[in-house]
Amino acid sequence: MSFYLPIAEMSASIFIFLGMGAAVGFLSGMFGVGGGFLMTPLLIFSGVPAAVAVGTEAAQIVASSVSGAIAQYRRNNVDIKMGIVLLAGGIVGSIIGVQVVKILRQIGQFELFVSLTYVTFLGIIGTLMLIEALNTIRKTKGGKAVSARRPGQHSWIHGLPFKMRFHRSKLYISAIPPLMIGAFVGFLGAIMGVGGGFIMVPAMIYLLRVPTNVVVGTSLFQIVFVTAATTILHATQNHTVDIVLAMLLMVGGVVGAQFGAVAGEKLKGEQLRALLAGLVLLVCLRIAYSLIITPSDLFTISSVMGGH
Amino acid sequence: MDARSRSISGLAALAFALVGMATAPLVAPLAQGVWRQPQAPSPQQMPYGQQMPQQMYPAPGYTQQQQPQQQQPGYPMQQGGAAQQPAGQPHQAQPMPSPQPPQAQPAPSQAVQPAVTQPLAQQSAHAPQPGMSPPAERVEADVSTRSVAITSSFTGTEIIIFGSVENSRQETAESGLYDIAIIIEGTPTPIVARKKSRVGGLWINTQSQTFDDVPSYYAIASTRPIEEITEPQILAANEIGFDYVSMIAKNGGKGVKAEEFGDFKHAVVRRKQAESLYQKSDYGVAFIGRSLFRSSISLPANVPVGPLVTRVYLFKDGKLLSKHSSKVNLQREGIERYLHDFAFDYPLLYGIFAVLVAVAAGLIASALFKKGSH
Repeated sequence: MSFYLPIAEMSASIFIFLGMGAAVGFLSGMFGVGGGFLMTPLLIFSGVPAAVAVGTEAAQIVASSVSGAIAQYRRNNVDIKMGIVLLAGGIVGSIIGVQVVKILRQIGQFELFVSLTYVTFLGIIGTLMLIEALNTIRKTKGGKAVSARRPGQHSWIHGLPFKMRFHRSKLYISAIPPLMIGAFVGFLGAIMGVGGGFIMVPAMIYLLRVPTNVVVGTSLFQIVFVTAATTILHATQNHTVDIVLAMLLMVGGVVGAQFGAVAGEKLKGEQLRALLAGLVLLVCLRIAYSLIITPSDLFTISSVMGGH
Repeated sequence: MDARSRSISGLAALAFALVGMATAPLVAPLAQGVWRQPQAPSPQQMPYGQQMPQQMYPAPGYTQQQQPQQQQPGYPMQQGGAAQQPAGQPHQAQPMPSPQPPQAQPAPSQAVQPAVTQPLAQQSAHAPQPGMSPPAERVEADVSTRSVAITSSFTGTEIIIFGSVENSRQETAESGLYDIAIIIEGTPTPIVARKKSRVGGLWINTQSQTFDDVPSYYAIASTRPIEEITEPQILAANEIGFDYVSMIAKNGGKGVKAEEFGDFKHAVVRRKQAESLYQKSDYGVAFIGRSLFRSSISLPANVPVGPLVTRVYLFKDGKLLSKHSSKVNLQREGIERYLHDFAFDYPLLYGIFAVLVAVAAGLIASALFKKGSH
């Protein structure tokens, strides 16, 4: 059964996108990640214009994060004050990111830029995760109990001005680092079509020393609002949010995530992380390959921006 | 619209100028005879220059006065006989399976007539002339569907174009006396073509050329390959065939060098063909009677929305006799149309709506999930 996507302006089988949503939903349910970093490349590989993939994925991330954010909020795992500071930075980053998308599309370099960003971030994060997971697996095999590393008590971050007290996180730090992290994640989210949890969570743990129990909730809180803002910005600036496509992905994603969560419970944390790292690196290599291999046709055509 | 139709008629007039030039040796004796222009050069001396069409195309009023004379019985036959030697030879080389004896003699004068009556320049296939005595062939055509709706289940469709040759002189559908070329063209839109080259191991877009107006869709069907039907000048003047699709480089913009421009033009056609938006069917038009012909052209699922213009050309012996054009509307219907218009007309509301849909989807999903887990 074919369906016409009004913004992507293509006709595609709805089962392809439902299946894609389900597959990525399964993985995100299993690994507890947003899945945007898998979905956006998949959409681009399947022929959706890169800008539409990024804009539409923002809407889907809103859907997939909102229930998690509410659940975390009910469990009091959200540092609202920290979340708002991150959010303020995130919206600034998103505004800049959407403008960058607009400019890059006009000069015809958006696909390249998205690919390079993906290769860079997936490469770095995949490698780090893989090393960490393999180390953990080796240590547990050696019989030693693995304890989470206690973060050091002081770093250069504590010397910055504009200090704020974050009660829920039991922190008294400058507002600048969370603003910067939020802005960076918002910017990446706007150009990569991701929520950015894979950057924000490690940044909050290692740079801000936010307690791990509030990290996920606070990051989800920020992601919901920033991706909502990004969706609206993409819709107004670039006209690249395909609501029909987003709904297909949401339906597939919801179903897939349920099975993924069940499957994830049967695997150990470090095994999951090693698998996820492998997946991230695979996506990274696939994108890198498409940049290096000689294209079948050196020429491409696209409609002129603004000429609708 | 007016400007466009005017430019089409301008092109048509130009086409006739070219037809005229090509048939100059053939026309000349006629011109001497009918219009009594002793200064007209003889067929052998006739220069293939710009002044020729002017001599051959008197003022319309004059033309009409001359029409009845053209019809004097026996007269075209005489002229045809006289003109056949210089003009007939190149055309006989064409594989025309038509029975020559009954058709060949009036042929040269027929070739002249459209130039005299100028049906093309007037763009008047529906003018009252058909009822009158001049047996000039004209083509009339229509499409099976005047309006195509693109709905959610749109997976492409076929348009049937059918038409007839008025005053057809061919005896059977297989005679092959006439050639038809049908073109369906989408709205001209601006397009950028980009070329990648290897920079530091990566394939990067390095050159680009913007075209102001490129038909979003272009399908051509003909009774045989258009290169066999007529000469490049006529094809070019009427934008018939992929080589002559109108593509105007954006002026003022920094385009590519002139020698590379052709590569970019070809690339546009090639990419459009790859998307099934440009199609060619060399034997896609078939006569199903003495005068009736039909063709079907497929509209792919990704055909851009907008009015399509159908142009039908009638050729005989490489000469353009008549032209007809009609329109097909291609519009979005159903929910897609609303969503698309919504997204482009009220982008802010659309964005907010998208977020609300996403939030609702997330909440419904978590509610369902809770029920399922308990």
